[in-house]
Amino acid sequence: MIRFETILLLLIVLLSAISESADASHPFHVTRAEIDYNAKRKTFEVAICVWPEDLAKAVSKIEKRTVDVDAESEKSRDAMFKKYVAKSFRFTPSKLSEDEISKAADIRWIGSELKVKQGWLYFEVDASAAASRWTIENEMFFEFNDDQMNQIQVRNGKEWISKTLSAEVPSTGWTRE
Amino acid sequence: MAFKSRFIAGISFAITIVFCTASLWAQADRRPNGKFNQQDKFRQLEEILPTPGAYRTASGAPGHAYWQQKVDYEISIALNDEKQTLSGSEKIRYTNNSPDNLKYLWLQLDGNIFRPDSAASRGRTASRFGRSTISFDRIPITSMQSLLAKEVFDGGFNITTCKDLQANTELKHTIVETMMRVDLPAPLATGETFEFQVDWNYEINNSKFIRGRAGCEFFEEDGNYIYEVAQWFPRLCAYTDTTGWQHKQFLGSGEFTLELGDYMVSITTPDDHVVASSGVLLNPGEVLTETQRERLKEAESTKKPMFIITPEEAKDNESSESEGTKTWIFKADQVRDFAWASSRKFIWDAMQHNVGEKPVMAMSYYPNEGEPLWSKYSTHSIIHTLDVYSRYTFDYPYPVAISVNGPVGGMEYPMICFNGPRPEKDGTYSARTKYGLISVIIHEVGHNYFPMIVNSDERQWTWMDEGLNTFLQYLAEQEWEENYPSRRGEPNDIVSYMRSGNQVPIMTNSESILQFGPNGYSKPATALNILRETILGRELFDFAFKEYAVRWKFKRPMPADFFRTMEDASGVDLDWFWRGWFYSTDHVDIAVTGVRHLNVSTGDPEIEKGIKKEQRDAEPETLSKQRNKELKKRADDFPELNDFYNEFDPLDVTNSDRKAYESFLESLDDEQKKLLQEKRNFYLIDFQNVGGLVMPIIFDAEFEDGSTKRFIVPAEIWTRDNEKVTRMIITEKPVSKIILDPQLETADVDLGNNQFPPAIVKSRFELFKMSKEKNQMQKSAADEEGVDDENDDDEEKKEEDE
Repeated sequence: MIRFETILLLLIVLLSAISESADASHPFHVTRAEIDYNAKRKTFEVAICVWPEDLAKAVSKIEKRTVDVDAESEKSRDAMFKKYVAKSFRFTPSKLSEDEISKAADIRWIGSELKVKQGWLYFEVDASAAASRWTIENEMFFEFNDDQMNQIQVRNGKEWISKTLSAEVPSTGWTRE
Repeated sequence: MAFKSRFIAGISFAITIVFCTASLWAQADRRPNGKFNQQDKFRQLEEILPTPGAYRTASGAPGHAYWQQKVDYEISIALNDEKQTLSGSEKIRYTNNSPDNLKYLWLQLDGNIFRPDSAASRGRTASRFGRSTISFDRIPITSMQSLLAKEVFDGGFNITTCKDLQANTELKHTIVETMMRVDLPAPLATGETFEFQVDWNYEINNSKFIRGRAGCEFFEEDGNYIYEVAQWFPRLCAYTDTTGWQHKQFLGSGEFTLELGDYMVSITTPDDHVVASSGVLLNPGEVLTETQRERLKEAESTKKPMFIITPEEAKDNESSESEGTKTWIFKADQVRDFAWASSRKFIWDAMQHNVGEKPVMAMSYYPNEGEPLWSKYSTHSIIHTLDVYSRYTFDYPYPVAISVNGPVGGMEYPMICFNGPRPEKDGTYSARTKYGLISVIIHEVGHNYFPMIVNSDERQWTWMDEGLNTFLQYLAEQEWEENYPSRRGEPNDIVSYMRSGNQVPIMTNSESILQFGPNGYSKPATALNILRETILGRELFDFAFKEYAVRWKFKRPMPADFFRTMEDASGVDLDWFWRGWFYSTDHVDIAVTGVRHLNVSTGDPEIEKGIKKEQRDAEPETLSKQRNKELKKRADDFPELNDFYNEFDPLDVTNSDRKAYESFLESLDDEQKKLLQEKRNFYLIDFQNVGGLVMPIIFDAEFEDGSTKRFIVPAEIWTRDNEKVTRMIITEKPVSKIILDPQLETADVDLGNNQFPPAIVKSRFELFKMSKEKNQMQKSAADEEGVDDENDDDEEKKEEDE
């Protein structure tokens, strides 16, 4: 039986530890990824628009220190962004046989732009795998924001699809025609 | 390349590009019998707007019998700094101005949203408990704390008394989630007043764990709290001609609407606290020091914000220990709510500013943690907001305007608002923090106009205050400094949202909105900006918008009142605009699909037949014809077989042709002859509405010499066919290119179909990659020349700063 003091202690610990601070009264928890499938290069070309504040929070968590993304050198901050992107954004080709192990495709980092209004992250994903069916996942900032919505727009030539990824639906399928 | 060189003069060519992306969803509303196979984008809104009448007119103004209730409050509230609790007693005077008899009154108990068993808690979907539980293997401790805190914390109202003041008897009251029904001893008739008392207490939420629009923040370093107190007393629900009693429970997103009235509030706090509040302080002699009162007097004529409590004094106050309590008394008239903040950590600055004829004391309260940012920008931002917003609406009617820094990121109440941004601990701050602070203050102070004074209902319609306010915020930001980095307002900034899936129309109840920020704030703000810049023009729009604000100042408008007033005062039927931007999820994507070049027939046979000969001669020789040329012909051996027809060319100019031309010329008057001599180019330009949202077609014709001419075609071109239209333009010079929406003013989501001849538009990714590659080349070139790398970094930084 758990003693009353134990419960009380647990409660005090929970209520006194550090947590998120309040945000604006209405949340703006959205990212938007513009993904172009380049058939010639067999590559997904990705540009994601993010709120820089969210990005700073995410990399601070990974680095276990408060990161001022504006103060970091471009090289240093790109290294952090890359790490975060690799953790949260995945393109996975479907398995062609039962024996095959499903593995996310490699990401090639291109760079970032950090403005006052918004931030942009750029990277490429190797799409040379033979599979035509892909799963695209973007879990950015789900660890902070309950209502995070990550928009992805995938364009292949003139055809494009637009999907919203959320906690309930964190990934979507895409077929290479 | 000019069209002329691509198309043979005098012949029309049509090039049609078929777009497969035509909106399939639009087909749902189409008539199946094929008689008119389109949606009616210009269908009038009368059939879906509420029927106008004596309360609200068809022109969007309050009607001759418009009424609204009045509720006055006399409140005493005590803050317990040891336990972070509030206990209060209020005397409510309710005046029934409605034509109805009321058997009961409804009150808001917004704090009950913090009960673990509240509808908001129970109705929250799994995802809204924290995505982190699923995405990254395990629950981070921070999320767990927040989740568990929500499970155990009870910040709801404890109602201890509810009594009829005249009869001095308890009133039957029933709590329904975040609302409370008070049964009246007898029905309250029109024009009658009822006075009753409610006593209550509750525990204030710690914003670290329970986020809200109010709360307290604890500072470990000095052991002090900042309290931002709002939605803190039982408040009368609105009773209106449109919905009767407001009966939407508080679920978290749809903020609130209330009745306007007069307030007298006594706030008791530890005696070393400083209180910032809605209203005018009635007893400065009892709660302020003599120095503070003198400084306040000085602030009435200061040219820049000055300290009433300096940073040093605030720092000293932090280590103060209270010996008793003080009661601050504030009076606020014609407000729909009342909020306040209290702490011993507050620095306080002030500057009086005249808005119209009336003086307004602009004041900011913030801890040393907000410095040096707050003293530099907060009060200036307040005054700037009052100046700009008053110009577009009405003069700010209240005596004070306050901005407070504490745990709440951004929230508005009458005369006072809470704003979150702070610099780093070392006092430095990024440009983003600076502009974030200025923007949030403009936004929250701006809410005084919408919805505090123009009393729209955010429990129902987020856009009516967030959208209108974000629009004015954009205008105010752009008057702060050149190229202010506004996050919302520019059409180009909303393109990716407009293209995205998972959308609902702007006309969606606050709780059902998907993508809250873009839908409730950015899209309506951008739509209004487009309405102002592109559809109506600044003069017409500003007149109509001001008319709406003035008509509904201290009254309660509904969406139809806004739509109707904007049309009524501008003289422009905008139903298609409201239908497209507010009632649908269509987006703007207009494509230029073809251009045909026509020349005027001169009538001169020498010219016209010559052109036709050129065309005939230019026709390709077929393979058989080419090979048959070498065959021996019978007519060569027997020339007598040739006759008139072998020599006759129907394209030769004959005397009768010449005579006919002469008589044609004689039939023309001088004006017509002059016109015939002038060479004009006629172009038929084909447009397709891919996105579904009808909009004006704005395009530049670029001429061969590089000059351009702007054409603006009103949206009404789409009235008969809202999918495909053709527009004729007449130019003196031959056109080489057509560019749609050249200044990106319509939020067109696909620029790839905006040019003819089609041009390849590079993606954002490609442009960035190219710029990076260029930089790498520049870098290696610089390396060869021995230039220091650091200089390049500086250069890049400069570009970013610009």
